[in-house]
Amino acid sequence: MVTLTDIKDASPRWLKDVGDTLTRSYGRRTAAARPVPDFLIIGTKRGGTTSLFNYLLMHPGVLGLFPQIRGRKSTDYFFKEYHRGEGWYRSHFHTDSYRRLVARSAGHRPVSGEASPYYQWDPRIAERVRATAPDVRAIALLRNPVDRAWSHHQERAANGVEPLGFEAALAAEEDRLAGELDAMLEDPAYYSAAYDFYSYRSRGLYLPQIQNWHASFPEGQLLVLRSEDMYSDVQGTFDTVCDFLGLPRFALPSTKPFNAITRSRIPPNARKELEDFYIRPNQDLADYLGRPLLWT
Amino acid sequence: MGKGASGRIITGRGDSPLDSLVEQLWREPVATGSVRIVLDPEPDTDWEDAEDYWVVPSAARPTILIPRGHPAVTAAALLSYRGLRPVRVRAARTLLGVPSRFGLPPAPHRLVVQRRTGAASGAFPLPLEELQACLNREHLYAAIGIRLGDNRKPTLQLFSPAGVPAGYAKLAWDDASQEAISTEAAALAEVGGGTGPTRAPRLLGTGSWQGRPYLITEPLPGKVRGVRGRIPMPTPQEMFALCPVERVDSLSSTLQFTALTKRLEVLGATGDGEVARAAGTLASLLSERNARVPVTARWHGDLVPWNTAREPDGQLWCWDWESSDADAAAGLDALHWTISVRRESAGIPAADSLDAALAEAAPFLRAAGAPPSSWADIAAVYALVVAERAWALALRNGGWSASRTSRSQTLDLLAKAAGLLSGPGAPPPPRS
Repeated sequence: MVTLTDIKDASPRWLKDVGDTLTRSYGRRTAAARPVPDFLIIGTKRGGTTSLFNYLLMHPGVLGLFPQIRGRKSTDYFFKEYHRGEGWYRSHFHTDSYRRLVARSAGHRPVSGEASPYYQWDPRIAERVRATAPDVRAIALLRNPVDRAWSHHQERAANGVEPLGFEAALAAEEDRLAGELDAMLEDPAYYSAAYDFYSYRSRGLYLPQIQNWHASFPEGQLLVLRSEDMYSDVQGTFDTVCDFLGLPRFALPSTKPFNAITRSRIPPNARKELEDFYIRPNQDLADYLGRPLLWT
Repeated sequence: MGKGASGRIITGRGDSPLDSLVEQLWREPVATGSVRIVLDPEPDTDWEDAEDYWVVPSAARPTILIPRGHPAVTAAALLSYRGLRPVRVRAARTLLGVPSRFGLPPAPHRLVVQRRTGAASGAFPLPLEELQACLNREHLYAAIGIRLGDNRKPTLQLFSPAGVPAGYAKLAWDDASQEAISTEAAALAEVGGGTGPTRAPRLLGTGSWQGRPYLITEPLPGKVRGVRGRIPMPTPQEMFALCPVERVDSLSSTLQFTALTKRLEVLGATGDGEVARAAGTLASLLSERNARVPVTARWHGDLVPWNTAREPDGQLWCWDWESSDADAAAGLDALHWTISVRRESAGIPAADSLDAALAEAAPFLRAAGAPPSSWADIAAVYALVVAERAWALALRNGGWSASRTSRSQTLDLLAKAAGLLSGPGAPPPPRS
C-alpha cells in the first residue's frame, strides 16, 4: 500500500518546499492553539537522542513535530531559528483540538516534544527554553565521553567537514573553538558551526552542561540517563522515560537503533589520553548527581 | 579568413593565433624544413599529410583544433567534457559535434601538419608521435587548445581511434611554461591521484619535447561537471584531502614562505622600489610575528571553480597543479578560491575583498585548526603570493599592462595585508 510517506519521499524538491511553506504558514496562523512542547531530548550528541526520540514516537501517546509526515526530530529553534519568534516555534506542535482527538483513543493527554543534542551544549539555550516552556521536562542521555568523542568525529568526517584525523582534531580543538563561546555570548543570534562540529573533547565535559540546565530548571524537570543503559536495555530505559513524562508504559514494537554509525575502533593512544583526561570530570559528575561513577 | 587563405603556410613567425600555436608546438620540426603546417593545403606530391585538424570556430579566431578524418574522433573531441564548459561553449560544441558524427565538417578550414614526402618519421618526430611513444600507444588523436594568454602553452586532449579519451598533455615551450609543467609534474607525482574525497588525474607520463618538459595525465571521467551553479564548492574535507595538514609549526619553518620571500628578494633586485618596499615590509612583519600555523603537505596554488569538477556521484576532481608549493600554511587555497570567485564574478580586486574573503574562508581555516589570531598572517602570506605572481609576470612582459592584478592593486593589497597585521585591532600572533 502506498503511504503518505512514500508519496512525500517520491515528490520533487520543489513540491516538498511548497508543502513545507503551506503547512508552516497554516501552523503559524494557528499557533495560539498550539501548546509549547512537553518534553525535550537535549543531548548529548552521538548519545542516542535520535533513537530515543524514535522510540517515543512509537508510543501512541506521543506526538511528533507538525506536520508529522516530514519526520523531523528538531526545530533548531533555540539556536538557529530563535529570531523567528515563539509563534513559529509553536507552529511545530499539534493543536489542542488534535490532542483532544488523540486523547480519546489513547486514554490520556498525548505529549509532544523535540530532540536536539545542541540544546544541552549551547549554554544560552536553557534560559531561552525556560522563558518559552517553563514546565518542559528535559531528558539528557550521557554517553561515555571517550566513545562519544570518537563517534562525533566519525560523524563529522562522514559529513565532509572534518579534514583532520581524530588525534589531530583533538589537538586542534582549542584553536578551532578559540573565541567562539565569547562570540556566542556577545551575539545572541550567533550560531557557531565550529562550536557544534569540532567540540569532540569539550562536549564530553557534562557537569557544566547539567549544572547550566539546573540553573534554569529544578532537578525534577531534568532526567539524566546513561546512553549505555539504553543501548543494553532499551525497554527498561524507555519505561523510565515514560514514568518521567507521566506516560503509561508501553511495550516497544522495535528496539532497533536509529542513526547509528558502524562501529570502529578508536585509536588506542587517543582512547588512553581521553580516558585519563575525563577521570576527574567524570568523578565530579558522579558526585554532583549522587551516583556511582558513570563510566570507568 | 576567405578562400585566399588556402594553402597558406603557418610559419610560427607571424602574429596570428595559429602562428603562436605553431611556435609553441611545432617550432623545431618546422625549423628542420621537413615539416610544414598548412592552412587548407592544395594537393602537393612533395608533401604528405601527417596530422589533419579542423580549425574551430574559424581560422581568424581559432580556439581549438579538432582532429579530422574519423567522425567518431571528431565528434568525441567536440562533445567530450561539455560539462566543464560554460553554457555558450557547451551549446556551440553540441551544435558542431552532433552533425560531425555523420561526417559533416564542424568548421570551414583545416590545418594540416605535413611531412616532406619520403622523410622518415623517426628523424623528425612530431609532438603527437612523442606523446604516443610515451604512452606506448599505436595511434592517438589530439584536440589542441589554442591559448594566447600569459600562461599559454599547448594542451592536447588525447583520444583513441575509437574516440575514447586517452589522456591530457601539456607541453612546455618557454621558461615560464617549463617551470609550470615541472611544478605540476612534481606535485602530481607526490599527490598520486588520491582515492579519497578529492582526486587529481594521475600522471601517466613525462618527457621532454623541443628541449622542454611535458606531462600527460589520465583523462578525467567523462561525466564530470564544472563546479559552478548548483554544483557545490569543495567542503573543508575535500579542500584538504590532497593537501593534508601535517604539522603545526611556525610560519618561518614552512618551505613555501621561505621560497616565496626569496623569490621576492630576487624580484626586488630588479627594480620597482615601491613594490619591493611594500613586499619587504609585509614579509618582515610576518617574519617578526612568526605565527604558529597548521602546515599542509602542499597547497594546490590555483584551486578555483574552473580547475575543479564533480562526477554525478559528487566525487570531486581538481587539476592544474602548476602553481603548487610544498609545505605551506593551511588556508591559502581557501583564500585563493574565495578571492578568485569574487574577482571573476564581480571584478573585485583582491585588496577590496580580503576581509570578506577571510570571513568566507573562516570555516576552512577553522577546519584546518588555524586559530583566529593566525588568520591575518595566512591572509598576508596569500597577499605576498598574489604580489609575487603579478610582479614576476609584469617583469616577464616588460610592464604591468597585461597583468590581471595591476601595480596599484598590488600595492593596495600589500598595504591592506600589512594593516591586518599591524593596524589597530591586529591580533597578537599565536606562538608555538
